Amino acid sequence: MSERDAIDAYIEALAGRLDGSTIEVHRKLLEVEDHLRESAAAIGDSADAASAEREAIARFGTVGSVAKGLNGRSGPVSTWATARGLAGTAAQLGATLLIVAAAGGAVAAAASAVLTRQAVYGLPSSAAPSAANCAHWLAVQPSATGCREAAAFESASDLTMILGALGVIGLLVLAVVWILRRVGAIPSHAVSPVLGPAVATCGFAAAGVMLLIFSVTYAVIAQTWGRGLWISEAACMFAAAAVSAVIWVRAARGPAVRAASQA
Amino acid sequence: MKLDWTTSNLDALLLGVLRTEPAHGYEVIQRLREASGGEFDLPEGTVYPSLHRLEKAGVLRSSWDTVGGRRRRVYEMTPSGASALQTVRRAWNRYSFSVSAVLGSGA
Repeated sequence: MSERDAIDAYIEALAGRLDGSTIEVHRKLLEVEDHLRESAAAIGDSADAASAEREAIARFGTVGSVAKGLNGRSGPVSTWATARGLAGTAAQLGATLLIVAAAGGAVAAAASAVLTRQAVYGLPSSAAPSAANCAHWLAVQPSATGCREAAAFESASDLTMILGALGVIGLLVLAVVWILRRVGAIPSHAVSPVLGPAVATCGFAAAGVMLLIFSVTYAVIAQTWGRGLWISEAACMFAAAAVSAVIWVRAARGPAVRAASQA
Repeated sequence: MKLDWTTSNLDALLLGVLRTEPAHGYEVIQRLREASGGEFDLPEGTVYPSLHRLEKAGVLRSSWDTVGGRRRRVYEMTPSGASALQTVRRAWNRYSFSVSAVLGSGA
């Protein structure tokens, strides 16, 4: 791998601050890099390469001021751009939550294949289903030998379908957000890159703790039950929190955040 | 007191620099510096937003060129840019004459 120089670092930092479609951003970055390399080469006649690059960058301007100019702004980020940025981050977080929930459903389904559906989706022993519910479950799950087994079968069937559908919706929303970012409808500069991962880390960790409590207390929430289901969902939430934390740390150390603090 | 006349007139200056032949961004700055005898020496990154703005306004157009294996954007004046430059030149002559008249000779 070739060694990164000061101009590469500058271009990387600038890339994180530019708005517009991928083609527009690519064009701006190519222009800036070409300018800096030519300027450094001209300065390099009387200085070493690293000093020449630093001097070329100093003559060009700080990442913050150049990004503002190239984004067509000289003032602070507009309220409208901030609103679009926040909406994009919120949509991304919501979509990720749906996908993680679907992953929890898949883990629960896999666990029930290894163990039993009763073990994963079974009603808590304290729950006393009504005769009408039992009749319904036995009618739709004729292979079940009793009311509680029918309840577990029905819960497994419904939840697998519902969580799968939520996962598909989440993927579609993520795709839309990705496209909107690519065409510049969601500005990249308007919201700090650490906001999304920070909220995701805390949110997923909190959800994981809550789901663990549900599993310990055999909770029945909105016609949903099953200790194995709660544990599967909690495991996926904690995994998502861990991944989000890594992204958070990387974003905090990333060039866009460093450049923002220098601007 | 230092007045920032260069930045406020940058669009007009860029048209003037590009009136004779096309140039890429770095060359535009070099020409601006040389033509002004070093007087117009602004942060180099400030030129690109103006070039992009002038291109959007239709007074410049640009195309990619490859020099020494590196792609660069070359800007040239459009017919409408030449017309705009004439208008700017007339307006500037009137303005500078008026400013000189108000400021006096300084004798």
